[in-house]
Amino acid sequence: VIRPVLDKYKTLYFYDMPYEGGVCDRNIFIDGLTPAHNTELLVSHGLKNWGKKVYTLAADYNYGQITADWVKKYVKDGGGEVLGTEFFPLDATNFGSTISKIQAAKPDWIMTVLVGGGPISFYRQFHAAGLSGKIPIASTTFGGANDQLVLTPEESDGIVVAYNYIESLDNQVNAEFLKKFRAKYGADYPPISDLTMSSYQGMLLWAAGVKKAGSIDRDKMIDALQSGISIDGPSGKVTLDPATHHSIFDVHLAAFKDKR
Amino acid sequence: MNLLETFPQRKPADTAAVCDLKKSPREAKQYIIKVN
Repeated sequence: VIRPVLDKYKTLYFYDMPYEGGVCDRNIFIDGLTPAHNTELLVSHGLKNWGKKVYTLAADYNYGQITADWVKKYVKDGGGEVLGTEFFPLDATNFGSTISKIQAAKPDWIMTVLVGGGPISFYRQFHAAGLSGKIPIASTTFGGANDQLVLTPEESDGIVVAYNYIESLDNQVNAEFLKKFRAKYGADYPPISDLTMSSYQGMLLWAAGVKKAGSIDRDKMIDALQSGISIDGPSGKVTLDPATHHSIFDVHLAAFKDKR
Repeated sequence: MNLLETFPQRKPADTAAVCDLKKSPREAKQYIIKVN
């Protein structure tokens, strides 16, 4: 929705959120995850470790709908089967009928592409139904907004995600960043998620572009940013791909444990 | 979180399959996957 406005006013735009992929736009640079970064890895992990039958729960707007299509593609490519796909609004809180359908379908694992505060209820109701620990969950979104903090460890332990940044990354840049961040905001500040780090590193990429261009002129900035520029951030090396204006970076598969 | 596996320097292959701004620098659209 925002792209035509940005194009009309010739505005440079950094998009720092995970999204469904496919944007091809001279004015836009993206350091959020796309399905090739995270969804493909999660599906591959699930098919290899949990089984071939998948059930997908996704947000009912373009991110969830298109990512659910990517799930279907990757599952099909991997020789698996999507038993069912359901879409939910951002404020959905009642997952009783969905959990009944899951129990009837008997998937080997579940993929969630849920967005919003309401759908966190799914994980609580899933656990209450006695399914957590029995049917594994992979998610493109869980934890991005520290969802695990409002759940118990029993409700969130073991959920597998794929992110460019997790706080426990063992590198010097991350160690120095965390030391300064905790000194300023407190040791008890909530975990820094991939979403948060993506915004920070988007600013670092912008700054690297300004430094290389020697200007904030849009065309000079675009030339600098699409020259193969990279930063060494807390998540590691992040390079802007000149052809797509998207990012090349490390992606980590990880499982939640004890609300972190 | 328990780190399970790291995939170094992963590329946006989905978008790279349809987008090349070096060849078409004036492009401004979003490609949508079609799943049959």
